[in-house]
Amino acid sequence: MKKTDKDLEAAEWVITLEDEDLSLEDWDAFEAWLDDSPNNLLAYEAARRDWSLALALPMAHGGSSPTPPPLATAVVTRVACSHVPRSSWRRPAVVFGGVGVGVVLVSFLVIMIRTLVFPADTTPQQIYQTTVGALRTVDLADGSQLQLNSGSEVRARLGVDSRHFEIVHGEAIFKVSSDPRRPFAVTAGAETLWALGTRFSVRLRETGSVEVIVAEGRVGFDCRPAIKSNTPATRPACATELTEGDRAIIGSGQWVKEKLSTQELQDRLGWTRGFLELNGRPLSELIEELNRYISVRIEIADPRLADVRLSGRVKIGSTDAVVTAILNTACARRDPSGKDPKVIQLISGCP
Amino acid sequence: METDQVTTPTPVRTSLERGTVAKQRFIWLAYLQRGRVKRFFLRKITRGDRNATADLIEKTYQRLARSDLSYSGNAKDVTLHVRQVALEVGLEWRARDRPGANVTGRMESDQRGVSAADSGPGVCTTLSALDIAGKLQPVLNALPIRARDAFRLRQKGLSHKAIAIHLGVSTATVKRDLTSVVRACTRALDDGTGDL
Repeated sequence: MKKTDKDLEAAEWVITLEDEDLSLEDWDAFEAWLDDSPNNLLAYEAARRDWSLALALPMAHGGSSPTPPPLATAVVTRVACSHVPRSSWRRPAVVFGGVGVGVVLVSFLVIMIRTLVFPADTTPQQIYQTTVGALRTVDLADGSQLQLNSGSEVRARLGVDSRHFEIVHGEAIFKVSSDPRRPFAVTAGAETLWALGTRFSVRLRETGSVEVIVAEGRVGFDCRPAIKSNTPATRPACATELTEGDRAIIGSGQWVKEKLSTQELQDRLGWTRGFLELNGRPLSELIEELNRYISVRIEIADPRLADVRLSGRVKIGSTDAVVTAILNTACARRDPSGKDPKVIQLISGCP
Repeated sequence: METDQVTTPTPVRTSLERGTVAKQRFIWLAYLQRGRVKRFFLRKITRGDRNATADLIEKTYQRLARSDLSYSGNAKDVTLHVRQVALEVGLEWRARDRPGANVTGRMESDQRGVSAADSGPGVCTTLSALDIAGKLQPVLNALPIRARDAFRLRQKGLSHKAIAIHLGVSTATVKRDLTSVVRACTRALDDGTGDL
């Protein structure tokens, strides 16, 4: 086997062995690979050492300390852990029968919960939308306030005993008026969040994951809704709560959370004031963000531009202003060979 | 004191006691792996050196006893953890204590992957931290955007799964990207080029 192949295998093992879902089978395969050749251990040692050296480098962006911070600045967990033990009863009839019963039960439970929490009352549904580049603030009848980011749509239903919002796409920030009799729920994708007296933003990403930033108060998710009765509605019991300054990404039954500094929090929610804070972030990080606010798509065609940091703030609402700001600040220009008028390819070189 | 005399012992274990029992179970289960650990060291790490193997086993179990882990109810977790610690101890020994080990710095690639390197230090070049940063930083800067994002999140301590959620890609994609970063780093420190 060529040395390159060995190095590639070693690199794969370095990454596999650091996986939290490592299995005994993986480990046995690793030991078998080591047994294949004494050189494999050498290649693994070298790859692991190089990987450790790379991880120990000061972070290129976002970190001010010369040494990397210790692990676990973020917390990772599962929302719904349903480990089914592997057992011998894997006969198709049993499995399909079990799946069938499970599907019926789950469907029944979902319908019941939906019926109990979000009853099909006659409250009319309101739809709020914004176009790309536009922001919109809506004062709701219950005293809450809703602010939509560029290119967003939110459906709202304010009932007698519940307040339910659905983010169809985009992002919105909610300033919740406290009303213990009417729980405040926001659904984005497959996730439902419960406001516990708060101001928070919810963004449904194109990938289906949900980003939540809590500016004030608390937000709960993975909640077991309170069952309706004649007594006033009570708060749902939430397995996880986010507090002020928390930013969480939720998706596929898992979540990641980090604590934002006051400055980061302001920057992240800068759009609510009509500006996008660039804050010295590299273009590669900003490009996705900037593309949300303009009617064309900007792409980095020259990798040298990826690390160029942009500072200052850009006023939301003007595509030309955003593009000009990038071209001037990053010392970039449009690639004249670009054919699609809706896509601006950036290459190095001041305009 | 009178109150002490009348106090009846409670049958309920305190959390501290429960923790101690769980820890004892962990150590007990770990000791069941001793034979396997010994074979691992003998065959893969020390290549038949029984004295060194005995030292490594001792070191491994000392480290396990000091670890904060306790029995979670899953024996598989204990087995995996024992093997991981054994690998750590084994690699440390190879890097520092093995006869002819390259004690400081990083062995350059001209010995890597050849059998002669296993028997001796060969020609070693010690790279300073500045050399390493100088070689790695340009490579990391030139990574494709997604691979670089994955690497940065890994630097922050996120697991593969967390990175996958963060970037909206699959865990397999994250692993593939990180593997390419490892590969690029190895190449950069080998010969100064880290192209993917």
